[in-house]
Amino acid sequence: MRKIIGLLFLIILAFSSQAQKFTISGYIKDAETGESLIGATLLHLKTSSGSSANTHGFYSLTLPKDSISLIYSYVGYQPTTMQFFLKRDTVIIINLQSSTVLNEVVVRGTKADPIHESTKMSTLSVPIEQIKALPAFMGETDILKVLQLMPGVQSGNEGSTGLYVRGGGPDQNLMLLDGVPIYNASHLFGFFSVFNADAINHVELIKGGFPARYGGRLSSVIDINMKEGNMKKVKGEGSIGSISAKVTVEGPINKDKTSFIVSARRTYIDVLAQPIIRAQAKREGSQTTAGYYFYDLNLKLNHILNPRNRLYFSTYLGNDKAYAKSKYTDTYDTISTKTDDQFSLRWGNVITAARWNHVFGPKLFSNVTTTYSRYLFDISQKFQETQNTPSISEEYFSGILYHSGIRDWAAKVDFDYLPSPNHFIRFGANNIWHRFSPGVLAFRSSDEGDTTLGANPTSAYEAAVYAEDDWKISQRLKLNAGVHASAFAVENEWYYSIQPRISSRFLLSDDFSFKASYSSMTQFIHLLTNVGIGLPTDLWVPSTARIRPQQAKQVAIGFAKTYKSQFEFSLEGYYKKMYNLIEYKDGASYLNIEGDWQDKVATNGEGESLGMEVLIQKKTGAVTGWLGYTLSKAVRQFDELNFGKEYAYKYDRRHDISLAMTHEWNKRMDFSMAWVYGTGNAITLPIATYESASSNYNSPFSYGNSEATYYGDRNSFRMRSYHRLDLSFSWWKDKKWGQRKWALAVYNAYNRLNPFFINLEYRHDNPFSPGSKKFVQYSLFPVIPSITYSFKF
Amino acid sequence: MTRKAFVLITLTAIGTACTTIVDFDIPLDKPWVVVNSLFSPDSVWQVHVSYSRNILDSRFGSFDPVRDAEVNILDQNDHVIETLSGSPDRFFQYTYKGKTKPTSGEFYSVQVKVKDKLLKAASLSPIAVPITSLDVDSSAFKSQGEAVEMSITFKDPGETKNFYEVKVLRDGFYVYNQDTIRYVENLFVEPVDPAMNNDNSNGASKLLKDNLFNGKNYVFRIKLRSYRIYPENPPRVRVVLQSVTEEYFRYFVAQSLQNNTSGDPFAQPVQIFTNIENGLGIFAGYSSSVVELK
Repeated sequence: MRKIIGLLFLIILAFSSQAQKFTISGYIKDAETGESLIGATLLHLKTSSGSSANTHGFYSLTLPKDSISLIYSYVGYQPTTMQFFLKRDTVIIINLQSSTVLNEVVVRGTKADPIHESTKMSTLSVPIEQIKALPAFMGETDILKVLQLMPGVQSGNEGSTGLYVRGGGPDQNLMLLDGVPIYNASHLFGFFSVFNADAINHVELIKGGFPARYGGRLSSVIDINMKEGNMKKVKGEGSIGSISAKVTVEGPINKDKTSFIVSARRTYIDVLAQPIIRAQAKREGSQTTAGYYFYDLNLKLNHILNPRNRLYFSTYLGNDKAYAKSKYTDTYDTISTKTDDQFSLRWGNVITAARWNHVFGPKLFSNVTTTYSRYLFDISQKFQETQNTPSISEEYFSGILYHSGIRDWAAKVDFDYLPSPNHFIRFGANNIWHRFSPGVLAFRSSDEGDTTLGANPTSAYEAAVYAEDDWKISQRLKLNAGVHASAFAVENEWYYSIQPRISSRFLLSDDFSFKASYSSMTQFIHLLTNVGIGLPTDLWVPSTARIRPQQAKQVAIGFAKTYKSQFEFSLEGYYKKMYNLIEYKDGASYLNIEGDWQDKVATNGEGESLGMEVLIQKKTGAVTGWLGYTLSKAVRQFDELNFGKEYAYKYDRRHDISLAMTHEWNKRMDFSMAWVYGTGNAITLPIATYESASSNYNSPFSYGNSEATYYGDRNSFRMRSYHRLDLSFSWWKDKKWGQRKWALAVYNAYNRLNPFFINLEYRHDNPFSPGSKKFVQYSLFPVIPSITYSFKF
Repeated sequence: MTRKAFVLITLTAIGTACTTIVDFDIPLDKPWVVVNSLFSPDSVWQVHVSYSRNILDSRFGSFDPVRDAEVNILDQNDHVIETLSGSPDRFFQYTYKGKTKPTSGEFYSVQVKVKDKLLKAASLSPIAVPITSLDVDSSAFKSQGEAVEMSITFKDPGETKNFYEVKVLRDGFYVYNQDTIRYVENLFVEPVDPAMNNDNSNGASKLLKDNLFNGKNYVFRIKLRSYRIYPENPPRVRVVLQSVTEEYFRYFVAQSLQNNTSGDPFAQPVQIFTNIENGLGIFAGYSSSVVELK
């Protein structure tokens, strides 16, 4: 092994010592805010050598001693050209000017990092401004809902923020906020995600061809970076929508040295509904309050110690809470009774990250991070009754509490090493200490004492090391090859995994390339979920001695083309095989919290998914957007389910089309639309009833004809297809204090009743008819208009 | 409580939801033929043959019997032992009955011919496993109603995979039109060991598999509530340990699970096991050991 590493370094040395070379390094930033521009590129025009800024905005490019001309560019920014004679290692901190400052008509992008050039495949990044410009459900911009519009990504149920990527499950997405995993990304039972777009700088979705630096999930990586805070001046923005309001303030604490950003959001349905609830309670003679709200808070501090060292601290805190409190007093004769009933349902995430960026030299960059992530769900009810008579006072109480969750402490170190323009080497290691609490129910009452049911918390340790190189072998051939090795320890059981990753591109012409990738992934944790609508009761559980880690292998091939520097076209085909999947057994319900979870799941399942994705994207100009189409098939097979036969995955979607577009008429008005179409979700429906056998003797009073229901194969029916059109029209105006904007949006503009679930019911034509059985489709959201006022200063 | 909360939330969501009646392509003209037969050495062969009903058929009550079926019982060499003849029974159903009884330890198969359709199934008539002892702890009476704990001991044969059903039967009677009608009913069996308190039930009785006690003496402790309604005139109570086949076990576990989860829109629907080739239902054997409580 040592020999191989030595040989590798010799080869790299040989490459880098062919001529006298120097390195240009530095950061690429927004000129207005000082914000790092993640993924911004620089290109040496003469040799076509280039590099891109990492997730901290750092770049490095080594070139021969010569007169050089460099062009720096980024989507939504004016390219900047630098010409100078390179005769020593040079540090350049480049500030790119946003297009919005320069142009009459705002453009969302300029030519940058063309799709056909990169080794990345199955990777999508949507500019945050474009995300914010698209129509928003109830006025609340949602990053995950925009990602659902991308090919290869299914949305699950109506209105949900769930992501099902290339036939994978909802637990197979690694959602990272500033490098910290988020375990439950949903608010309001999945209708909104926890990511507040005002606090976000960059979003990237990887569906395949995973670079070796990522691990721990099978199907996707959603890497979201928070803004760092404006280094130049205090800025703010906010909005008031149909259901929520939010505000973000950012600015320098010490100009060009230390910055902050704080962003908060809260719904106010509970506040608006309070007068109605109180009036109703007054009529009933009780004191009742009830409501639901969610809130979240993002905070980030960014401090530049010196050109070589930077510190970051970021935190996210979010909670959903539903509550009901009722007090009632009744007096009858000489007896008075007081009751106090309280109910509470709460779930939320807390994540924290502290990071230290260190530049060792122009070619070596490091990032050390420690993180904490916690997801907690609890539900409680307390009841107290006091009865007073002239002679005696009696009290009865009962309380019940159920809680579950997961908590991680993690530390990681990542290095970026750029020895030459032809190599971008990344390597690093990470450790995670997990603690799983998969459901504990505690019951207490004045009659029966204390009872506790459920599984004990489980601790587990996960570690990984990785190395990868983005290697430009020739002008035409470039590859990213690496390996991710991981281990997991739980209940005296160790699991190991070596996961090779490779992706490559071959230039067929100047703007057209062929790409191919292979990735092997291992996931040591599982999510127990059976409805897939982001319910907070979903349980994260570890691999155990009985439940083995999930694994996946994926291959993808495709073509990428850039047309007239404005359009990007990609066509990809993929095949993914998944092993050791788990799923609730027949009859299991999230309502059932008793017993060991391991007894409720079918294990060693296999999944297979294949498909073809087309994406045509326009990132520049007054009209931007994309058209995506996916043709796919996803199946599952478990020995214990469906009598061992293969069945369609619930979110198998044969056809999926999405069209998203924004049009900026002028500096004061824009219009956007999104239309989606998808084959209906697979469901299991009853087909027949039949006489069932009975071995029991029944009392004659309970005797009845035994009846069983025949369901046929699992998921053998399809709901109606899903389609929806959302529209949005915004107009804004400059004010003395800044800018204000009104956005009028319509969700489901042509009022399509899309299926949420199907139920078998008796329907009566009139009150006297015996009724007949019908399948009834329930839909959640008809046409929903919303208006949002937002401001910037 | 969790259930209440989520049902409330779900109902709220449903209450505000829009509904549409939808049509699914479920073939109305092709009922399945259903064959049900649970056989034991204690009784002659009996097979019920009926038609299934389309799920959208709104009729209640008995399923249409198949009156023109040819029902044969075959031994393990595929020789016809007996052709059963059909007649209505006292529960207004139609039953195909024979004159012979199965023998413990033998394999049997059934062939049912309905028009041009042939349905087949096979199962073992298992050997009964005796109850070696039965202890009743009457001191375990609880505050709420009468309850009793019982320990049922038996020796599991080690060489095979075994399945059991434990039942407690009580005789009862009622008076109708001055006639005394006698009946037998199952009492609800509740395991004392929480590890056994799973979904493996068949109505009131409990189904066991021997993976935790293969080849060993096993003491199955149960709790019975409403054990004796009339302590002054106690009815006859029998404890039954049935050796059942794997088909029997799988069929009734799934059937019970389907009943328990019906009405829960978030539960994954339960498919009931069948071993009837070209049809639905169950053909499975069992053998009983009975101890009567004095």
